[in-house]
Amino acid sequence: MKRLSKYLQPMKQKQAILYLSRYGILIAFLILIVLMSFLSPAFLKTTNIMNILRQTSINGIVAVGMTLVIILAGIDLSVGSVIALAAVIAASFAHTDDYPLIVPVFAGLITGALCGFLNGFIIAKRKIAPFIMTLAMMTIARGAALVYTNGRPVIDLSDSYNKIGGSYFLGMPIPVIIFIVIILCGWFLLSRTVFGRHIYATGGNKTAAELSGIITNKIIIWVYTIAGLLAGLAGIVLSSRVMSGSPATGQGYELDAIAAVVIGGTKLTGGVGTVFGTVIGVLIIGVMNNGLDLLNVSSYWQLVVKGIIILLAVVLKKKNLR
Amino acid sequence: MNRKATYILFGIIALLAMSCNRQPAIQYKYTIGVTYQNLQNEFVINIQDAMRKRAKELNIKLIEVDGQGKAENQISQVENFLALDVDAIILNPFDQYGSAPVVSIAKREGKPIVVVNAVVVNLDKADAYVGSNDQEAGRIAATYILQVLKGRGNIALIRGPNGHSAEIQRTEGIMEILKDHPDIKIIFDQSGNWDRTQGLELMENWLSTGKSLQAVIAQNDEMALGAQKAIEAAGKQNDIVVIGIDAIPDALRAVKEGKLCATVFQDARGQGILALELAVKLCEGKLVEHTHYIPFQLITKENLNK
Repeated sequence: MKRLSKYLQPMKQKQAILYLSRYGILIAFLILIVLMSFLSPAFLKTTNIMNILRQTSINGIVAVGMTLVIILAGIDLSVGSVIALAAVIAASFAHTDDYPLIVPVFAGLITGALCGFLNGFIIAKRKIAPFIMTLAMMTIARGAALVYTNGRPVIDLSDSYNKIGGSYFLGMPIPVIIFIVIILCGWFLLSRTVFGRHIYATGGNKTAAELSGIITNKIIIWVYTIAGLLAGLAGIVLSSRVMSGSPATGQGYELDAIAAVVIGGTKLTGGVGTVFGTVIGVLIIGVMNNGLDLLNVSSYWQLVVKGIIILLAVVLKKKNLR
Repeated sequence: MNRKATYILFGIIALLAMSCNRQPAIQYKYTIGVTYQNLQNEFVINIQDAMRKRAKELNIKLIEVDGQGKAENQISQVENFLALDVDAIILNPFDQYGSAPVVSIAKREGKPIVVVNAVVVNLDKADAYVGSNDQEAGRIAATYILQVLKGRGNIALIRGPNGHSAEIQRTEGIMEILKDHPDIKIIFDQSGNWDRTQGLELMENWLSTGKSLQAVIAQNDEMALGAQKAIEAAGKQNDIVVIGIDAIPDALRAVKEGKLCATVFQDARGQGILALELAVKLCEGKLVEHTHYIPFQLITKENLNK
């Protein structure tokens, strides 16, 4: 590493800082990949890469929505419960072959979007802290899922529904394709549209955004609705993967998504962040989970390691921005 | 900057080096992947201990992963096992529906799979099953309470997590016995999610209703011990009897001290050992019987020392 500094010295200090703050997390990710491939021969096999992508896709879909919310200086604690509610509602329309596949999918998406809309509407109009509103939605949606199913999982789903989580298209698992589409949409929305710029502006400084003519309430409602919609989509993929809609599913998913977003360099104070960073964050968590399982590391240690990785990522980011 | 990058690099290397189980260079006979439902549960840890011990004796390499109470984790883990090309898989399912794809995936790839302790809906597709018939545990607990209450009284039921296979079957067993006894009424019925604190809180709330209660059937010992604590705190330990299931060490002590009237012993060791032995036999290409029940036993103060 001493030698590396020689190469870095000719670079202007500022450039180097910019470079590392932008790519530091990517470098950490690449180091992780190299390390894992040395430690476990199975790691770089195609099947394993596909496994990692498939295993990360659900958290990834949720985390893209969470990125928008956190750039907006908000937080969405309800996504885990919304996943469960969307999963059981979608599954309940999928367990006979009476409806075409589009019906359960739409039911799940609408459920998610509706929960998200309620979050956004009340946060915007009633000026309630996002933490409180989404905390309330977290218990409401969980309760609604239990009420709807009477506590029992919804089973006997149709084959076409189960194929969403279990089959391939052009050699790629379908959840991975959905994840990639969501990444592209999220990236496009944030960096290529006026709406995206308004999200950054509102999250960075709400008063200034309002003064410059942005209707921030509209932005807030839309962003939470999108986050809810994506949670609904994750619920569909999850229930299809486990071939049943369980009202107990999705617990802790909000924290995994927040972790991925934070590792990816999005600031909880809002106004800063990228979908690209979040994707790397999602992949780091996914590679850790997969790699540590391949290496036969005890699950107790895995939790410690994961926590330290989150800390390291944030510490790195902080130091570089100084 | 580069110093910071160095810190990160060494941090990650140190962590991985620290957390890796260093394997001595021995030739193992077979590699078997095990996915547990949740290693934060003492009963599951007992299965793990037994399995590890037997694996060491038989010179088998175990790759052990923890589903952490999520069926989707177990599916991912079995996909990882296939990437590692294990010789056989042992599944300790969390969710009888959600964990079922694990069996389908293993059979699609032609890997022998043994299901242990809890069931999945497609159990018939697995090569073997080792467990205890949870309905029997429910029947044993309910029959004993019936005997203690002399066929008359109000009881409270604390269930496992809704939808968990042991919850469903233990409830079926309990109801099967109680349905013929109209003088026994279940006046409270809630899930305590296998958790001691939740058992305690449920019991506190029920006691505060002031309704007359004679017995508590908890579907595991953790919840039974929680409920017992609430009863003791309310000074009603002589009026209400509590029975649990599993016979964890803490519960055995409580039975000895007369705090629990009984518990139903589920042989975690026996299940773990047999599951491993069956998996090894399947690796060797031998035929095994599909269903293996390890019987439950009622444990009271009288037969505790046996």
